[in-house]
Amino acid sequence: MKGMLVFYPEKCSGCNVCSIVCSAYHLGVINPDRSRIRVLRKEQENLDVVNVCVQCEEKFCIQACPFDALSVYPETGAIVVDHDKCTRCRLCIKACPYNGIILDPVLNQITICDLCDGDPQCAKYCPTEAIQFVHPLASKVAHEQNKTIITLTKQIIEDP
Amino acid sequence: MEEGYMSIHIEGGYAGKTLWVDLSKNKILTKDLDPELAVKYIGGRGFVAKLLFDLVDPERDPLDPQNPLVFATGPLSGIAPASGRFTVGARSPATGIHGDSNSGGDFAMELKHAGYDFIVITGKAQEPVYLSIQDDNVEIKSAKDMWGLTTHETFDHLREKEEDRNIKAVAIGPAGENLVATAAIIETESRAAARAGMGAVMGSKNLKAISVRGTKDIKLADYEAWKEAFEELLQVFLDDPMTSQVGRLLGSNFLHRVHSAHGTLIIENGHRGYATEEELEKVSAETILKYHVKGRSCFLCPIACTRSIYMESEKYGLIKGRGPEYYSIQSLTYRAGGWDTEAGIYLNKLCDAYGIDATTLPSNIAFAIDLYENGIITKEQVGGLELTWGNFEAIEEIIKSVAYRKGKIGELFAKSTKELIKEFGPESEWYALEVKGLTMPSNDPRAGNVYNMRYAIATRGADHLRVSVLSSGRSLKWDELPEDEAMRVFVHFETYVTLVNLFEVCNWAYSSYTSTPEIAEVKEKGMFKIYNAATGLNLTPEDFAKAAHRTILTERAENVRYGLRREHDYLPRRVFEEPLPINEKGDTKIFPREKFEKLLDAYYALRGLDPKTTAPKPQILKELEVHEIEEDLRKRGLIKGGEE
Repeated sequence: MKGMLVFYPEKCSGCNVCSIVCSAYHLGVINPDRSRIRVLRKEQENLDVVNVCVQCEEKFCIQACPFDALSVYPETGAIVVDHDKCTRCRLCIKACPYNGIILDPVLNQITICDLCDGDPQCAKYCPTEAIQFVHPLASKVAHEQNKTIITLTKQIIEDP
Repeated sequence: MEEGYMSIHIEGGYAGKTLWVDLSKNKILTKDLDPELAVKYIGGRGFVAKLLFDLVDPERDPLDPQNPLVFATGPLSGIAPASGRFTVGARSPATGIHGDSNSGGDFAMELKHAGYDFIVITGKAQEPVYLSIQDDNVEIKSAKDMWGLTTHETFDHLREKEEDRNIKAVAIGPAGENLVATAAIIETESRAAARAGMGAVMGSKNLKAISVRGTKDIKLADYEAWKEAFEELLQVFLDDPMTSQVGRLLGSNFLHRVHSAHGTLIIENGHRGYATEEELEKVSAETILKYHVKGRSCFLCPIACTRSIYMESEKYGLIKGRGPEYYSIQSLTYRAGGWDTEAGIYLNKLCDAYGIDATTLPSNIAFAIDLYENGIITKEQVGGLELTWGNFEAIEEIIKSVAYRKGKIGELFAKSTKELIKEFGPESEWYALEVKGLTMPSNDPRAGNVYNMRYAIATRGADHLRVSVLSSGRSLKWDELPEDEAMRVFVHFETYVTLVNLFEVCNWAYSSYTSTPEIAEVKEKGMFKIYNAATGLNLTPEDFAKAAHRTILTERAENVRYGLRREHDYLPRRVFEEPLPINEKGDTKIFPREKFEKLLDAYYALRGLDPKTTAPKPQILKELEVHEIEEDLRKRGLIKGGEE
């Protein structure tokens, strides 16, 4: 199914079910560090924020890629990496304001949320409905909502 | 399980390596996880029990540098719902006997991803240090600039030093550094391994913190089977109103009202077991909800029972972060005779920051207040404090002084419960609600006799966590059953909770927050299924029950070596002699002493313990294949006579 992920950080309890089902689904092992979605936590500020591709309108990563290795997969709307073209320069990682892209340390591959072929496991298993998968018709609202993630991510990373 | 443990191949679930750190010699070793240990003791609390039995020399003082401090994860850490727990153990400086303490958070998961099932730390560093673990890269680093910092400051410092925001850590605050008997170890998520003085053991080793970053995979032998079990468990947590509603909305604080209804609260150091509606309107789950921002999870927990709070208080200023659990807020408020949620939230925060056990120190304070109010001790004896019921200023001053051992107040309350009894004289003993030197949290044994036998038999002292009533026990008229029958159920629950501790999943999630026997069964089977799916082993429910039994007996054997016998499995005298008011109508309850002795005998018989020495009998040690324990106890003359 085509659609997009929406995140409600105020509902997120930081449990990390998203990150382990993601790695389990894609890799058959459990490893939040190789997951396409990870939770950044700051206990003293009551903050839990996911870092993941939010399929933003701007597509900062595609713009930043000098090798044409990234594109939008029309069926799902997810970003796809052409590993033959990708040189692992990491400019996409730098360009993404959502911390949504990682370099898988084992596969040595740029890794981005692929929406699990239209059935995102993170949204499916999120126990608090902090992650939801919504119909493209709701994408305008969703894009607006997802902006809170950038603000909060910055707040966690920049505030010592 | 068949013979020949060495041929066992474990495919996943466990990390596979163990870490051995000698701080005196500045030496770090990694060893493979012994598959026999894994299968016989499963993990977590079981590993701690076995390692302490093997490594502790009972002749040595608890704070002797050579004594080991063990941090252990479980095979389900990081791969099952609500699996954020770890156990830390050492001979306890608070009680002198077997000590262990369990905490939630994210530390266990991170340690496993770094590749280690447990860490054994011996020796003492010359200067303050912290252990830095980044996968295979393990170093002992200076913590001179962190000594004296609160736990929260320490975590910020570690994130900077390790140049990684995602480290998970455990640390001590000033209380641990100053070897306070009630010093806790605090986890990054402000969770605490609070009881039994484990923070002081860290302090005695000059070890300020352990910082971990792990990026390795946890392997699953059978992905499909794991997924099925994981899904099933997750669903049960979402379906059961005990977890999805009570646990999520109220957290452990739902117990103020439940325990009050049963008359089993500890108010004013155990002189009353129920609260009035007026009082509950001041301290209960609802009063904490006023400051509640959201639930906060330990690793993989779909419940998120911890309260994230935001409190702007006229008196105490702005407080954010983790709010108090039931056991800490009740100890900090009405146990000491005061009813004020804001004070409880504030004092709990202080305890977390200084690294103090927010249950045990306040229990000691409530004990002292009781003595003061009853004229057993004078103002001079407590450093000039006006120790009256509900004097929050006095409690605050004690907490702050204890953390730094400041003045007479600091020195006095830095002591263990047993030392305090000695200090306050023989008359004080009547007022002390402790077993083996550890204070009872809530749950007065007079209202709920059989259930609270757990205080008498727990190997680390008065502990409410070694036996939890599963839902099937809620409707049970436990105290009306014949002793043997009652204890059979008790032992069944003890086995279950022990297993929860071995797997290192959450005791609350897997037992207390369970509404029906059917759900309890799904949870139990789910744990076994995840274990076998991840490890590729095929352990049976009987194998698991044996591992739990083994763990309990191993802890028992350690305690027998310290000189513990039947007379140490006691309950406070007051419980047998002073009736407890349990409701406004004026009803009271008591624990009949003859009943207690019968229950105890029934317990020993079911666990295979000698009713006089409490040493495990040779027969049961053979059945459980722990010959080395029998051999050790025989060598020390603690098991006598021939084969049974």
